[in-house]
Amino acid sequence: MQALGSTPFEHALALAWFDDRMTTTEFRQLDALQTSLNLSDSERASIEADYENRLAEGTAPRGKDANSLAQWIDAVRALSNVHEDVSSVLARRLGGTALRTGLTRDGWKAANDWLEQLGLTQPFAEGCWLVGGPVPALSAVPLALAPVADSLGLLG
Amino acid sequence: MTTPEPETDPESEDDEVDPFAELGVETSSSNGNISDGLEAFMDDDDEDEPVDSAPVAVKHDEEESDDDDDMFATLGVAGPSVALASAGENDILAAFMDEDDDDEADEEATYSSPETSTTPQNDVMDAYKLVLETVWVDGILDSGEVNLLAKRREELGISFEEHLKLVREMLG
Repeated sequence: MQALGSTPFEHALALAWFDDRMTTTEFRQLDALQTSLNLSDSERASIEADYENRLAEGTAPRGKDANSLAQWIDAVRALSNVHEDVSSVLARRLGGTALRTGLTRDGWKAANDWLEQLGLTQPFAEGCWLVGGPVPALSAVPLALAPVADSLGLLG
Repeated sequence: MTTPEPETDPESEDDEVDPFAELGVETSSSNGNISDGLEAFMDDDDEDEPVDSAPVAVKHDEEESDDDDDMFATLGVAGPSVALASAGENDILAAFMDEDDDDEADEEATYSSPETSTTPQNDVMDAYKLVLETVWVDGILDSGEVNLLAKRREELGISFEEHLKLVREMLG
């Protein structure tokens, strides 16, 4: 699964606009995601404004189908709702897995941008930089982390 | 705020129970592994275990299951070229670091006890930054390099937070 933006919310926007329009349902779904990610209105507005500019330019990435947004939001909420220790461990191990494969600058940067909204940059960094020792690799990631895993070159 | 209701209400209850079941948000991907628990995402020991729910499969090269030791060994060796000089501490970057070491030889006292050092913190940070830039010069960071940097931080008395700040500055 390829990232359609540099953050989970941006990715959601691209999914919402897959058909060149946003329905009220999709708007509400984005509201739910905003809440899950603890984004302020101004943060969201900034992301949306940027995305809409790209829409106008015709350069905005788009999702593929109507179900993707709901699935994506479920995934992000699932990750956000899980105990912090669990998501931290996942992020940490994702970092460790990326390091094993070879961490590029772009991969590092993309992953940081992506994980920031999820509040997981610190454990990810610790995994990458072996802080606290090496951690076991992941063999799979939850959907909410799949775009990052892709950015890191971890998806087959 | 109205929130759409996903069929799978993720917050049903978050006992520590199967957090991964919640995360078991699925997907599709190459290998199509499936799993239900957190373990599903982990590699630790379940390399061979069949997984059942559907997290996205991650491809990772050489090291599969193995943790710590294996990982270190593999990664250390995997570096660009130089074999670890001693006790697994030196790796590819050791070569780079040697240069620094030479420079630092005369300033050893300073580096060895950063807290009491008379070396300005800026110099220390600059020295570390040089190393940091060097390790990513080939575009890829490996664990040998990471180990080397960790050792360097310890020697220079640089915190992980300061390290991250430098990385961010470096990457823009």
